[in-house]
Amino acid sequence: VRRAAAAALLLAGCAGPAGVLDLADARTDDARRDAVREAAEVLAAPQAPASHRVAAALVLGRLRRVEPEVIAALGRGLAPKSPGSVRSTSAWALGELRSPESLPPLIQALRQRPGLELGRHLLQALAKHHAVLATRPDLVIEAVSAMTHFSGNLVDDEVPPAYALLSARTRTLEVDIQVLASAIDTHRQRPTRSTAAALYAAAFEILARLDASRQQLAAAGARTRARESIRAAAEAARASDTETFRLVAWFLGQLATEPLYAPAAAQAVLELEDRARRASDRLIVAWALARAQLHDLAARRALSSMLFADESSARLLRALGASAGASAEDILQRVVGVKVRGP
Amino acid sequence: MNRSESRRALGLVLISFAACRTSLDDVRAWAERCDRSALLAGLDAPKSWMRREAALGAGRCELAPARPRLEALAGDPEEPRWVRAAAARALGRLRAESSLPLLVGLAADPKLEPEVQVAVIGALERYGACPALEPLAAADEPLVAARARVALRATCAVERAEG
Repeated sequence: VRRAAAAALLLAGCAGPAGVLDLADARTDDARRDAVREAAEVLAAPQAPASHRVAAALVLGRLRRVEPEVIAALGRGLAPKSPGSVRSTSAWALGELRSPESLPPLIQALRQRPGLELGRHLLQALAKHHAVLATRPDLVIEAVSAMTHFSGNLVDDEVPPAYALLSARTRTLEVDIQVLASAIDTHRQRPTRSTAAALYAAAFEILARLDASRQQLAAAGARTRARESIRAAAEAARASDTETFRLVAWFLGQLATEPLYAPAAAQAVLELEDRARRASDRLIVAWALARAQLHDLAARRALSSMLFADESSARLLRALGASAGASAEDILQRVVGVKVRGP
Repeated sequence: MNRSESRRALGLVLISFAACRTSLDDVRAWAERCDRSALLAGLDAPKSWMRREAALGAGRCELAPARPRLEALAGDPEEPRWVRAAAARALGRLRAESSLPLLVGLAADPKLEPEVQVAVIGALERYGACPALEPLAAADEPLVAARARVALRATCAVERAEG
């Protein structure tokens, strides 16, 4: 009776958001349990005024009771149909719960292209779960996959600072490999622009990490991990679009001068060669092989036998010649060190 | 519903209507007008949301007479964390030298809630209290550590430039 009367008053808006905020002052355990139920009812009611729902989400975050109805109500508050203020406050409240149960709605919302402002709240809420993530590797992969999906689908916006913060706490090469594998699977099952963007971001993260941690990995003799990472990136290039292909081919060329990476990078580039259908793609692959040949004989042989020896793209040869004011053959000789036949 | 339950329900309705007398908008209007007496009274309100809004208002209005009460709120472990955080933030805006030891002490408290820690960091940033901020940059809580690093970069860079 008490709960029904209070909820009716709150939903009717007569008590105002302040009436909802009062619930956070419940002192006894029983009172807190009732307060949480009332707040959950207000938050989950789409017909309630947004200010009441925001206040209800604040109460749920302040009282920090991890109960199924609280998680469900905050999940409804996060739904795309809710007003922006309700979604942001629900994200904050889920962050305050800091429990394994409060992570899935945050992860799901991050995958729904939330936009920069809500994304910022979601990432901060995820960051509050650092202690949970430290003990749950399965949730780490899901969380980092969702983060990557979010960052890959941001348009013309910089990722919020919490992204780097979370990455520093959660990402390792092993995590990046699993996240990339998950992005490849998702894209292969349901290829969309969104999954392609997420795949690009996942490939970028792992390749940038390899590039930035050359010395540490070389010092640790982490050849196997490096090889697995490069293989995963090459798989992404095969699974996705031109942009990801070029990204991977370019990074492989960057990495190929490092003795630790050279054999795997050269092998990966050789395997990508048949996907280089456009002249510009072949140029990147050739450049990558040229860098790899310093440490890898197969790359050197491939340069002379597979690439550019039969190059027939007048456009590519013309572009190369124009860029340096020299003949195409001279430039190609300089770049890849092989004799080429013109068209 | 029997008679006793009906009476209880009616009582609740009346109590709830009574609570409507001071709304969130009312308290926010005190801050906008810098209504000194209302804000000072609000710091002693029985409701935590009212104390929080009054504390934030006192900070925005740089209400010096509110300092002792704000210090009491920020330092009281029995106060809810959202009230302590608002009080700490307000103390940062007042920048009274006498509040600094309290804020430094709070910064060193490992059991302090992250929400309050972040507010204390913001306050210490306004004081330019670099030595108190430094340990927080290594806090386990990522958002606390990040906020401390931002404060150190901003405040201590200013100090270096001035020096």
